[in-house]
Amino acid sequence: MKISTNWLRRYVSFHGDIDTLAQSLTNVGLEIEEIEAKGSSFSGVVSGDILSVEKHPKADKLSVCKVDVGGSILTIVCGAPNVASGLRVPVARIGAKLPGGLAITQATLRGVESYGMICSSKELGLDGNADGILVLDPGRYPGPGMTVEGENPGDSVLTVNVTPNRPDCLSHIGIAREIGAVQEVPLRMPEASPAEDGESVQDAVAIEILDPKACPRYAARVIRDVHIGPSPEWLSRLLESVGIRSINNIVDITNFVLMETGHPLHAFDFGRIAGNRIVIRKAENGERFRTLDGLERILDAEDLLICDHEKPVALAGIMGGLNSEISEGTAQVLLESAYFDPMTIRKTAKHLGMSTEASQRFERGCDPEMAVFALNRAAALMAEIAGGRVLKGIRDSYPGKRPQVQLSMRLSRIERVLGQAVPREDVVSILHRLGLTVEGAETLRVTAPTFRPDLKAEIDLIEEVARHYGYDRIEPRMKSHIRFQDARNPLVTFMESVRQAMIGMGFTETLNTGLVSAQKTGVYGNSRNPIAVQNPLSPDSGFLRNTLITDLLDNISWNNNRMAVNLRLFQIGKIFFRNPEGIGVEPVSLACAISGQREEKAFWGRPNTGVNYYQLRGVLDALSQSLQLPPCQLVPSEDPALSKGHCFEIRMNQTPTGFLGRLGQDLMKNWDIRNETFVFEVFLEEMMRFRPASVKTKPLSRFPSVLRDLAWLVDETIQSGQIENLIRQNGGPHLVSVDLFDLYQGKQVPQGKKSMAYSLCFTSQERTLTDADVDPVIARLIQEMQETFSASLRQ
Amino acid sequence: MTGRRIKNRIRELSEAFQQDAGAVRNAKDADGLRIRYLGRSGLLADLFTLLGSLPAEEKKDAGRELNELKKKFQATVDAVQDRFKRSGDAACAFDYTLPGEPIWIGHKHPLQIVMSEIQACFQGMGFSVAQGPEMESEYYNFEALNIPKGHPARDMQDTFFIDEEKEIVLRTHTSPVQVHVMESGQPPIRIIAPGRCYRNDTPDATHSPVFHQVEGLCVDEGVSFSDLKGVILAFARFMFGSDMKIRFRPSFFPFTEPSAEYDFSCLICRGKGCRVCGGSGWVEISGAGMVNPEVFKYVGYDAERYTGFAFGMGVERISMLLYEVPDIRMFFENDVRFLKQF
Repeated sequence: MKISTNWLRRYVSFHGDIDTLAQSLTNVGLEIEEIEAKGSSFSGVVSGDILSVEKHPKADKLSVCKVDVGGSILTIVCGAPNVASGLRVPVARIGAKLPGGLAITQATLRGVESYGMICSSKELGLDGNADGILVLDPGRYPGPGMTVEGENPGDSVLTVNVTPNRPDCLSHIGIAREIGAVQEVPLRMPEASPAEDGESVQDAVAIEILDPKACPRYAARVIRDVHIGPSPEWLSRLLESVGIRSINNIVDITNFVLMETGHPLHAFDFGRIAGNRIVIRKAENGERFRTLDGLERILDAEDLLICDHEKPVALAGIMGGLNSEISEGTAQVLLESAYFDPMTIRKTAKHLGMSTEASQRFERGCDPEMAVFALNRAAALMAEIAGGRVLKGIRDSYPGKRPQVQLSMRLSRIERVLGQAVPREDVVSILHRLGLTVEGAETLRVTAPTFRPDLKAEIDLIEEVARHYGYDRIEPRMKSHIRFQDARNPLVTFMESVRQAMIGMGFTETLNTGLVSAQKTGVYGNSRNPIAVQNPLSPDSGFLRNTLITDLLDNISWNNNRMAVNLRLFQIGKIFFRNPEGIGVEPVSLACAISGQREEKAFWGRPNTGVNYYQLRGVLDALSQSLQLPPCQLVPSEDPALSKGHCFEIRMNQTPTGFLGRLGQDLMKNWDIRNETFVFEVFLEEMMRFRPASVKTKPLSRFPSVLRDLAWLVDETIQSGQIENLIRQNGGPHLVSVDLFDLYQGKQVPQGKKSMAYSLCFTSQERTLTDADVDPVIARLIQEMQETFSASLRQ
Repeated sequence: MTGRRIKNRIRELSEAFQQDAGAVRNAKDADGLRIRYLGRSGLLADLFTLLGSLPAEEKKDAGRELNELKKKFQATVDAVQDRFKRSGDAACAFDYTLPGEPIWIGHKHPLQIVMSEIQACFQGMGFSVAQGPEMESEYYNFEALNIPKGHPARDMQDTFFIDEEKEIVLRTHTSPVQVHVMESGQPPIRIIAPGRCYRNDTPDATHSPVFHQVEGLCVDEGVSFSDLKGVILAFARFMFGSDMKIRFRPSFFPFTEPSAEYDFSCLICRGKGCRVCGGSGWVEISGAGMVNPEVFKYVGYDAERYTGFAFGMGVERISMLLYEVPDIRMFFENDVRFLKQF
């Protein structure tokens, strides 16, 4: 909402400069977002009466004047030829600021002290010539000591961020009322009693409300013989200062009263209203109506229409119709001032995609009691400005009159909510200044004015008190009462452990918005049925991500394009899809990618090589180990993001928890990733289930271990996992670890075979093991290996 | 062989050794010197074999002399070898200035760093961490927070719809977690809820359609606006230093009353006024207020007995102030040159 300070001065005489005013409005919840200075501005200039003029003893062209500035008499040296006693002139006192940044200080002019400056119009940034001092109009400045505003004073326009609970502040009077409450100065309401002339309006027009719920009040006047023409300068200038284009005097008056009172009005060309009759009814489904902006609107049965005897003439509370618009030829005006149900207006404005000055106010809740005041105010201006004849009386149909809201507020409750007491006299004074009536002692009985639809309960009144008492006056407090609360959250804690483990392994965390294109959700399209956003920002952010892998690919591609090719990235976050029952789920996922070379930077000590499966598998194993999770098994599988044959399902205690593998060729091409890339994605909630509640330590053996290294020649198709399983199954109770330490194919190994060397460690808790304990186990292993895999021991 | 001849040989050998030792120029020469004189079949060993042929009375004397010579040679050879090992012979020199093995360094995302800090602060004040769904029903996102259908406050937050018919939205704030928590228990309640939120805002330097909030809620007997200010002040000082000041300005949120926007002293000028804060000395952080009794009605709490406060904060906003990040989009671009700075 744009508020002109010059406009405001019509209703309240505020003190202080604009910055202070803006700050005090912000302090009561009317945030000033912008202050725009219009034209020139000056301060500290008052009206003064010249009592005497004497020649300067040392300068021919200067005069020494005694000037009454209201309460004190100043000696001022003046050089203007037209200075004379008896004139009322603008005096810039010491401390005054004039346009162009000139600050007035005490000065000595050729030996005579001067305590101010008598100003010309040019010095004040006003029209006129600089030769002589400006003589003030005694009609406007009836005495000395009044603040001078000039003939065309500088204006400041404030952009006020009005919260949706305060429709009353979408007007100059509403803002003026708050200023009055802050500065404890009275609010002046404008004149609103038009001189009436001619027949009774009751004979001129009839009103029929068919839907009193949607239209609780409809008031109208008729103004005859108006002369349509341009608005006077003061009117068009005020409107333009708040961003409204001047159209013609009648339309400008309705807009002026709207911005003044916050109450929307509409002026019809009464000559185009058929049957001298207004009917307020709901539209029919599919009914068409052309609004003022020339667009044809297709209505439904929820929309409210203002109609004449034959046809709709306005979309209630939103916009008038083209068919009854004020035009150059208009001679008679039907002036509407109504109150419409906020929900009705909101629904229509929303489904038609219209938002007007009127609809914004009706949606938030206008004041039904303001309707007649606004009507009278506009009618009076139409008589004054457009020469109209206001017919006698008001057509006022008011089926929805509501009683005033009565509330009670306990002083003790204020203290409970705010944490500190506010004296009763402060409470009463604040509420009075805001236009509320207050009675009672400890429990106050309060009547809320109709322009404050937001005041519905005790807490609303407490807020009013707090707002004007000052949030700054409520002391911060840290109460010390000890009460234990378990502040841990298992999933959040687990996610943080995962994050720390990944960072520890050299991975950098990324964060994407998660709003992705259909193409990206298409990667997992069938298995993770994607969820669309119905009103996306753009087509490429129309879905919720159903995997974090595509987000990581975005990250890789972004960084590859910026010369960073060796990457270790991870991301933790929710992914979204519909489960087979069609219900949207949002599990927490961890995705991890390695891309490019295994080392970030080349090391002079050894060659860098491309990333590979074993590197990422090592990360996965280390992750589960560091989180005390059971080891991961990898099982050949298929996954849409991964290359065939290089794709593995990750299982933990037989439960599938995710996938690991080499990035598929299609995805590499789509994301323009040229370097080898391996990724995994796991469901963290699935993994978390396997985390032990706490570590239980195993006893440490006091006896030395026995180590045995064994190398077998096996067929190259035999997998390490198979051999390891066999060793563990047959290793006896003392076998504690099996580690592959060498894998060799080449010279000395026959074609089609490989040499696999394992280090076995045996430990007992009870005694030192001897060859006699271990030898039979080794013999059994050698035999089992021979029988199962035709493996021969390498000597 | 006589004792005198042996002694002559010893003297000759000693002189030759001095000469050879003086000619050593590198480690290889030093090695050669050792092999020539002290080696298993070196010149000194030859003399020791000659000792056997001496008469017993001369053997003892010559043996002592030979042993002394051997000690002397050994000391010189050691010194020479040591000298060439240390002083830059290419084959043996140790270049301690070569770069060490590169180690991958992981980095936590700045927004996560800040969220962890915020959590640590509030956990210190006894707040626990709660979570809620990102796909939320309109009931939790709006109605139960006193934002009924048709309420103009819904316009304050441009909402992404997932299913308009079933009234599923992407949560526009973390405030619905308040309602979930209150529904599942009784006061006293002290929680924070960090998480992602979504708003249909066109991205620019200060807006992102996806952003992070931390919501806070405290409900108990005797909780007041004064406590809210105390908690926010403690947070400001934890996060930005003990000279921080806070300012509360009246505002409007349907789920709190009285409602406030709260500001911190400007982090750049510490309240003096500068370009960043527009000269005001304050920077806007977020919103807060006392829980509206209407919200207590939705969850069945006795609004006479209990009062509460709630607050929110934008993680991106705080991170931008803290780390002087000029554009919110940098958090979501994931440029490693940016991420590696944290």
